[in-house]
Amino acid sequence: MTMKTTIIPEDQKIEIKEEIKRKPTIGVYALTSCYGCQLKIATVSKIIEIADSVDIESFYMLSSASSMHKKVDIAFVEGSVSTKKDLEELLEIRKNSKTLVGVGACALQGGVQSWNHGDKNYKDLFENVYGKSKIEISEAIEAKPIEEYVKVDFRLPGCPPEEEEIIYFISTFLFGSWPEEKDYPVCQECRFAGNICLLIEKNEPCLGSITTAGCNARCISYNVPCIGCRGPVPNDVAWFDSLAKVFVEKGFTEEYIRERMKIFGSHHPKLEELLTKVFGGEKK
Amino acid sequence: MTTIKFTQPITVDHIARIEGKAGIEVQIKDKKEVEVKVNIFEGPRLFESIVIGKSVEEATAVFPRVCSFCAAAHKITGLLAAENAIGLQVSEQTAKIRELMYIGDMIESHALHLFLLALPDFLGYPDGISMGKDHPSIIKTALQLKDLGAIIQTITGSRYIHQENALMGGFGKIPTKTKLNEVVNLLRNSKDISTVALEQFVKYELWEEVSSERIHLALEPKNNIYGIIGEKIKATDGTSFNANEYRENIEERVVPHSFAKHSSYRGKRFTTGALSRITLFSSLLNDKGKELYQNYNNFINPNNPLSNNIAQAIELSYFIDRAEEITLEILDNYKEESRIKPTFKEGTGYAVTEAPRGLLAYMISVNKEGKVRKADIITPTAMFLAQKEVDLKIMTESLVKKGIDNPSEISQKLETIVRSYDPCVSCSVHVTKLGR
Repeated sequence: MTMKTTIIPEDQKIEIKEEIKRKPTIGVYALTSCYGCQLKIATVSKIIEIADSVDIESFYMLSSASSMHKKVDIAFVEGSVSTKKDLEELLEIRKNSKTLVGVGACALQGGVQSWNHGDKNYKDLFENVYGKSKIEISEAIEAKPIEEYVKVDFRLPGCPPEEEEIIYFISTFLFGSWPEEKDYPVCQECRFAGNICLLIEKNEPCLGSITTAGCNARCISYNVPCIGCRGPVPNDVAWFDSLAKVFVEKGFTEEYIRERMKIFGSHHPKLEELLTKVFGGEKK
Repeated sequence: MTTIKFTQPITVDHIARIEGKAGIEVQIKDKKEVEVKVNIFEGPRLFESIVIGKSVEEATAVFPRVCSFCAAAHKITGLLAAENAIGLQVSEQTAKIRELMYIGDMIESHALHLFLLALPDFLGYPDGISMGKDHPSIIKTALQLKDLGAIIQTITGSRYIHQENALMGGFGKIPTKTKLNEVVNLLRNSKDISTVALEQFVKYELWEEVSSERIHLALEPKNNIYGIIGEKIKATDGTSFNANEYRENIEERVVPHSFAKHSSYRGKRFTTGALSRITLFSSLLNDKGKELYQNYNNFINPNNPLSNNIAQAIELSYFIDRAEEITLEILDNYKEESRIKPTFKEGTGYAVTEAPRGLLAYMISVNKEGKVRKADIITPTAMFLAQKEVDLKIMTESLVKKGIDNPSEISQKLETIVRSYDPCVSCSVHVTKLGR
């Protein structure tokens, strides 16, 4: 057997070598949020080691050497788009990044600020807070996940994300690979954690069965029913309808069920469709 | 004397190393008339609007999302207001565990602010990471103290950002004795590094140019022990009011350059924060706290915002002692308790506490089913914004008078003043509301 060798032209060879030698550049940015994802990234215990293996180009919360206009290999973006200025910045970040990672509930699901999405008129909500006074600095718009405006390459969920997941994401990029999304619910980890089922056995409004795993069912281990902060399970397997049926059997009202599912799920395209199967007709 | 030539306003589009998004805009007319605006463009999240009609238990889970730096402060203050609304009295042990969690937040927030956000300005670095390359022991201390605060919040609240374990009526699960004993050990092992921040900041003189008279507001702590829980707010002008009267005493107004409103106390601008606490209640510190306060008294000028760094640094040391005391008290009377599930009835509740950055006020009104009818929150950053703008104006005027004409030099100084307040921009914006 003979081995086939491909001859790489000299100029291309150099380019590959430099690409490998160079540390990946990273930017950490925030739109409208609580800054918790950035705080979590900034305080992961290995941050100093990680900082040595990457070039952090921008990290507004930590460094005054930050800029939206620098090119980066990987951009981590937290926050929802809630003003025109947020949108301009998001577009600028997308333009300047090879890979964009949406981080946390605000970027991925619109955040708790989207709790009323689909229920109440944004203008009314805004005027309830600011009155008719004019704020000239930027125009406020209804909170939306960043995916409504730009392509998101990877999703790092959580409110805030888990430390080990942040390290996993950064590590895969350093190895030249990419992170895999968790596509199974909190219940799976909850069984492994050895918890009793708060929904079935304690009649608590636990959202574990429709919520993306990755937290090792922390809250349930503390006897606190899941509030859904990691967002609905991806790939259209968040069965809002089945869970709503069990909630009804447990005595919860339609209004309460919808409100609880909407804290972190209001922008989910299937939420209303699936709830309609249970409650019928138009929502009350 | 150098002539000042500003062809365009000095602007800092986005102040780094603070929580949230804000900028500074300085206009200088005729080389003397100075106008300064702190532009707040962090987007609104309308917390007080979105919780209306929702179950109050869910609302108290959402409130900490106002801000990650002071999530525990928002969680506990929201819980206290909600419990006051329905007349729910928690156990003494619950109150103590909450106070411990709150102090954990204070330690973490002060450590992050002092070492990673404020100190790089004084040592001349753009950030803590590059500062750490030359000063590894400072960064090591910073992370150790930050972790200490985070661990306290994690064992009490289940995690250090958005503590779901703290609920109306108590906790899902109370911390075990083993965990509490671990906390005691950690606190004892942190005592020798508790004043590192203070030792750093007192190497630098306060900029006298930024001093001007101001009113301070702080919560009178319960049991005469310097702390964060209380019922009555005192002011340095000799006046005072009760927590449930805060809406009649603190007013807010909308300004065009900010999504955060500006507040006033009985018509006057004021400030709040560690410097206010220490100015009003230094006599309630423990012996070591009092000693630090006396030793570094030259650096504590109530009229100089830069003193807030010093006040926070003294508090950092004090709260480590206080956390140990409370943990030992919890261990001495440890009871296996489950939380009291709330029974709802119509009512309105108020709570005011001392968050890391100053007074935090909540009002929650619920109907008989436990749904929120009305909510009102005023955060420390919204309270001191107006005073902060005045400080920046005074500083700019005095620099211009001295003939300093380098915009980057001026803006660097202004940013340092902004950081000394430890502003929490997310907080100030997310909860602003219309005047009553």
